[in-house]
Amino acid sequence: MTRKSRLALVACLLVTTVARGEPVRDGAWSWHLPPGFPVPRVPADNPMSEAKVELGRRLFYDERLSGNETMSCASCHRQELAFTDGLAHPVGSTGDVVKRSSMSLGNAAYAARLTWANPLVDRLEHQALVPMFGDAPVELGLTDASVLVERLRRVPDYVERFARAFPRESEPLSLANATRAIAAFERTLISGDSPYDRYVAGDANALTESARRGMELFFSERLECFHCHGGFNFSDSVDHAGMPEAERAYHNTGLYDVDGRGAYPASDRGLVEATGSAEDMGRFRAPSLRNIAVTAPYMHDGSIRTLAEVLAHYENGGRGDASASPLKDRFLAGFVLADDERADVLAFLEALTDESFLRNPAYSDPRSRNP
Amino acid sequence: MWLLGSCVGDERDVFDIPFAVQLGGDVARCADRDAPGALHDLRLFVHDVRLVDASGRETRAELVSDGTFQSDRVALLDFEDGRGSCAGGTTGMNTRLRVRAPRGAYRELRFRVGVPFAQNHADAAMATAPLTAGTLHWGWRGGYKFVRFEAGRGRLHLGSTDCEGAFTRITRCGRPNRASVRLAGFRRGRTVDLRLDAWVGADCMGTSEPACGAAFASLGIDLARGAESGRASAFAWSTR
Repeated sequence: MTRKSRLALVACLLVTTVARGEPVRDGAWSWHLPPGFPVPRVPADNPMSEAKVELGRRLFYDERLSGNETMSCASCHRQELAFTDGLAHPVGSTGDVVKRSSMSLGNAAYAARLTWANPLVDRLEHQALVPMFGDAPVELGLTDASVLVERLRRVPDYVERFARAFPRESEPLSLANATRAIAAFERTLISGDSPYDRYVAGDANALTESARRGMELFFSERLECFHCHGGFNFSDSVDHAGMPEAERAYHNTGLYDVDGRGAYPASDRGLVEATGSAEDMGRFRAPSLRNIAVTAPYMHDGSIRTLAEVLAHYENGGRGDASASPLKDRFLAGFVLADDERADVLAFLEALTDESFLRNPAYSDPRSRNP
Repeated sequence: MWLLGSCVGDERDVFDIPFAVQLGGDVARCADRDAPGALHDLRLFVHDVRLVDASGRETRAELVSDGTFQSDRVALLDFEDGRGSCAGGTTGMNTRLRVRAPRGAYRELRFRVGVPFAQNHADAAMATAPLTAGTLHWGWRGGYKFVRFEAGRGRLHLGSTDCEGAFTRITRCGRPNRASVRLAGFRRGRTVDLRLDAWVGADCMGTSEPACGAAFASLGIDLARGAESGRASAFAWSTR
């Protein structure tokens, strides 16, 4: 893509969205969205409200949400790591090892589908039930909804907050409303204030020379990165209020080929596990690249330790022999970079880190001493 | 305390169908400590209960809703008590179906293992008993585990897979994985045995891997398509 066409694309995005700082009203709620960001899709049965978001934030950080009260959502989704946990394989509340790494919650509101490879999960409300009640592996390790509801009912602050967040309901404190509140909080975790965003908004000095060259490379047909990591959220799995239909975007990135026919290891075969369709072998959702520098290790199984090694993976068009996988995505042809170009691409990826997102007190543990 | 198989409520038409579980010829149950043959978990959903008379006519036996183990749509049979080898489960057990049916001379019992499609894919967070969210909801599959069996290294988690659509709006499932059970020789009070022998060697999470073969065959489910295809030999009248 030339500089001209890239700028045209950016301009086009700006026309269809809103200017910086101009709040978008949605009932009693106002979205404060970064420039270029569309309005998130919110399920009709879970409208946003301040009271709900604040309740959801408290639940998100509360260990009562695990069976043995040792873990919360935040145990695997830490703000300073863009709501990941720095592990290849997280460990659940009872010691089970989770086969896929914790995904960033930054801009989860815009993900067309949630988790690494499950097209059935398209709402944060439903996703929350998987870590709460899942048993293979056990994550939070709740076994019965009534246990959670009873625990929360014993806390007067929750009784009050549920009543405020869900007015006009006869039994506001329920599992369904807990997942709604958590989802509402997660929808506010919007990240769009990186050096790259400031550069696009007109601050020519926000990106270094190197990062600017890296941006040109990133958006080039030579590297092809943007096919899967394109758009305002650097992911092709995107949805928002103005989209008639989200794409069903999953890709095989040539990490494994155990049988010469593209098979992934039995321990994790990707999308095919959910769909049963052979062509979905090894396919996973392209995560957003926003804050990617702080979310190591990489890939669904954390099998690549650094961003430089990820770049080398794509340079090679896959990992070792798996680069010849017949199921590999067609955009993974591989490419050749000079050393300084490699440094430029990495500088660009690092410029996608939104420091204010990692420190925004509105997203932090409400019990912390410096809220 | 009530007796298994006794008539309660409207004594003309409400009765129990008792169930027991067997492994290697012995009653399978939770044990104080884990040991060979001890259950870790055994719960299964049943629906679509019917009785057949001598002329072959099928009559629906309604499930009597009790707010705990049975709604009028689906019943949960629960053979674990959450103690010892079954730690992590629930205290309550349910080893019978309570049904309401017109009086008649019935010769055969029919039912399905599983949760009906509409209830299976509804919002689990809003569900009422016995479908209240818990580990029997197969979160990432968007439905319920129809069978959850664990003992020793054996594991069978059976539910619909390869589903299409999205949670609460699932349109179809490539592998429904429901079992159809037909037991000739029905009489009131007769106990249905669930024989677990074909399940103890399974490491099956409800897909088509070979480790599911024996368990699927014992439920009369076709491994390739997840469709009802034959006799569910895991269920038989008790000979005790």
